[in-house]
Amino acid sequence: MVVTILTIWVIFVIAVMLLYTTRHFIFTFSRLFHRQRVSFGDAYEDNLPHLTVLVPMHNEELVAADCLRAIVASDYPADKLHVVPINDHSNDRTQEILDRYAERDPRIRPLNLSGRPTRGKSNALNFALENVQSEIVLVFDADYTPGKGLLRRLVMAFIDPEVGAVMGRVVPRNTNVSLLTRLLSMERSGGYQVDQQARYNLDLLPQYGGTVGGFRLALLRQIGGFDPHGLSEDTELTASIYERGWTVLYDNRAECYEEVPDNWMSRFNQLRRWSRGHNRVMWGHLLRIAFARNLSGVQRADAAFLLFCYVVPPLLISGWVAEFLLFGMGHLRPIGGLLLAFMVVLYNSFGNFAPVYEVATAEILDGHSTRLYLLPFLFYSFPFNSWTITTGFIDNVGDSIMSRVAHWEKTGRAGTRA
Amino acid sequence: MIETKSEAPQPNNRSAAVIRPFRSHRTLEMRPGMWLSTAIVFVVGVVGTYLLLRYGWPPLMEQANHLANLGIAMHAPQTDTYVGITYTVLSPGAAYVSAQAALLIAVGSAILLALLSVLPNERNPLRYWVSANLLVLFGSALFIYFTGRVGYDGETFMLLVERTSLLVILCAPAFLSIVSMLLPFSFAERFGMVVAVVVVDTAFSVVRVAAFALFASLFDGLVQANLYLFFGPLQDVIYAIAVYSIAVVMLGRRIAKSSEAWLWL
Repeated sequence: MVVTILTIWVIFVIAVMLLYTTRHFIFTFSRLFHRQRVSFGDAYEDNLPHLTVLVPMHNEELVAADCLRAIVASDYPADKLHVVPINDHSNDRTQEILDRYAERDPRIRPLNLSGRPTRGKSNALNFALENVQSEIVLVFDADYTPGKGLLRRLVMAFIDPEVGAVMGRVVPRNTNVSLLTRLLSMERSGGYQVDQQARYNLDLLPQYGGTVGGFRLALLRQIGGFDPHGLSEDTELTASIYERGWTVLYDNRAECYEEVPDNWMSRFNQLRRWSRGHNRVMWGHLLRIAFARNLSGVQRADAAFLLFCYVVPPLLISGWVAEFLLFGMGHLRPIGGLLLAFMVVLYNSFGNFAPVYEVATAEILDGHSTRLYLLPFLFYSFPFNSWTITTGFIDNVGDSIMSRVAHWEKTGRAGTRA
Repeated sequence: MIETKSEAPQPNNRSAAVIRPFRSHRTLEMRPGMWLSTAIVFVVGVVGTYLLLRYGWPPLMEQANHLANLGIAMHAPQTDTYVGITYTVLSPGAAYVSAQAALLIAVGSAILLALLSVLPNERNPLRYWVSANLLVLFGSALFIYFTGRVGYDGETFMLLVERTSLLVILCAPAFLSIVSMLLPFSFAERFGMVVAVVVVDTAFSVVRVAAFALFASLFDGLVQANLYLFFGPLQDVIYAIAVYSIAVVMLGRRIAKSSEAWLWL
């Protein structure tokens, strides 16, 4: 009986992995051979709307100056651009840097949240949005340095009245720092160049990411702002957008350059926070998105894949435990051993973690193929990723049971001093 | 369709597209030859590998037996027939692990795990690999302590290892064909990948079978799960990905040299 249950469980886990792998295979096919959808970024518009760029910052002295310099150097009409860096309880030189840049450029209007009881990115954005007047709002992380034409490209997406949010492509700029940054760079390539673009091609659900993207202010007002206790305001907004019949436009050409974690501890904190926040959104939106009338069956399936992606590692770990127990009892057959090996391969095939063929395709499209020598190393980080995401999942379960409020864990920066 | 910069839109001319070639606009041409060569490599690879193993696997397992005998004397080997291939199964003697020894090892593993968890995180992937192995060792020791037995006797364990190795090598051509089918590899590259993986997998399997027999005879069930779950078939798949990575780098370089390789939007 026990052996039967364990065997069925292992088969179930492998079936889930296979579903994710098949999905990524379809995405890769679409990105390579399907008709590619482009954004409106290449169109010309001489009457651009007023724009507010929000940049939440918590102890960002290492990157704040680069980010502000890059934004104000944009070709967006100066009289229509406001930049609002939000100092969220920093205890380093962030406020000093913001003040200095505000003196130099009147378009920069910093907000200081010191003294306010609430903290975290969602709260910072909600506070800033209270005073925003422009129709369109872009949000950047503080480690982002947008190129000259990026703001214009992203805003052009809103020519389409159905577009509620736009998302650009994230490209790591510190790729050559360490093995970790190289691996993350490969993952990002797969995730954006292939995954997001294919979802856009196939009219599925490309994701809004809070790092280089924007939304209509009316949409935020409609959903009542961000969840103040949330850690994944971007996933939350994505789910809300699709539930209300809006769409997300993905612009693969709108590249923005970020700093990925260059040490494993930062990566651990980042991934754990993502997992914790993402799973909170999953519980809150699963039923609503499953019954959203405006979505097709395929789109609902994609939504389920998206919302469940941070549940897969705990599921995978449960599969390993079941396999270990079967082994211990002497009931693991050769086919089980083979499936185990493939399960690990398939591990890199869910959610934001692009599998090998997707990463390879993305890097070839990007012209960075030499990095692909590192592909086997993706498999050596699987216990790390599995455990980290599972930790975030456990945190989320704890939050739900004990009505605990999650606190924002900031990602460490390397950056250059201002 | 690409318009050039020289045709820049005039002011007040709303929504005139000026798409400039960029990496986001690259796609590849789908050629029927790709699918055909994939199908041929798939079939030829699986059938060829099967024939190769049918005649090559038995003598290789003999060699593995000799190799293992260099370290420690094996019992008289048995034979097994799996997927129509008959070969020697190594028979390591079973070392006895007492309940007290198992408990001691469980406690030792737990202490090491605790120590690892408070060490700095700079070497995380390696640390997690060591931790995962320690956790399995801890589980195995507890299993022995409570049930008196874990996993398999020496011969059945080797049967599992050798059968899985056979299965993995047989599946490797199919796996590689599928993984590489979307990219424009040449027939020679596709075929070369399969040959390379089968050769590497087979060679390492011989060494691994011998090494596993040695470890199993020294530590019995205590290390069986570690050997099988971490250093068994998983490694074969990683070899396959390593070979694939070399092939895609070659492909990427070839494409990068040819501006005609891309289809643009």
